[in-house]
Amino acid sequence: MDLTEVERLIEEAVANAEAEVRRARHEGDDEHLAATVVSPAFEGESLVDRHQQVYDALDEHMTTDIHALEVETFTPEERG
Amino acid sequence: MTFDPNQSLPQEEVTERVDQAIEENDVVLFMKGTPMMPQCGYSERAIGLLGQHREDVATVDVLESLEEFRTALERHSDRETIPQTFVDGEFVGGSDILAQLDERGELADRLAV
Repeated sequence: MDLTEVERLIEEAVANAEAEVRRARHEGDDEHLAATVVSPAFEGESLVDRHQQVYDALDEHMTTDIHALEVETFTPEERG
Repeated sequence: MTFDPNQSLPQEEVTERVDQAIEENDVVLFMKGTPMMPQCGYSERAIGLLGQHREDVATVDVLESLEEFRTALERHSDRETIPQTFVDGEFVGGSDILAQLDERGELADRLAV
């Protein structure tokens, strides 16, 4: 799946988010992705809940267009 | 054991197996393959991380009926990706969450029941 499209979907769904999506494995593999997402909306949220916000943003693409998604989430403060 | 990727079991049977495995085990990992023969890097990573903290990790090979396991698991975790870890009946996460908990030194506590 197109990386910028994935970033757009995450940024649209998670308030004030900045998403950076890259291929998790090798160059040609567009189905195993990794996303780093920074947003104040993660404040006080558990890891699972943070990740769930990102998964929900990509719901209909998960396991079809995106086979696997490694997620890392930070608040702006955590990001430093 | 020859592996037929599109073999599948009845949904009810898989749903019951998932519900039971989550309820009856302190720590259960739904993975692709087995601890001895993981069939995917993320599953391998997950079982490796869990194995460092617990010897009693129950595992279920979702490749026995992948789509049915995805459907059954989504009712518990809101997601269909594999692997999935449950501790004391509660969804903990996939391999990325396990790795992040490990990096912060929080995995042992999270797996303590």
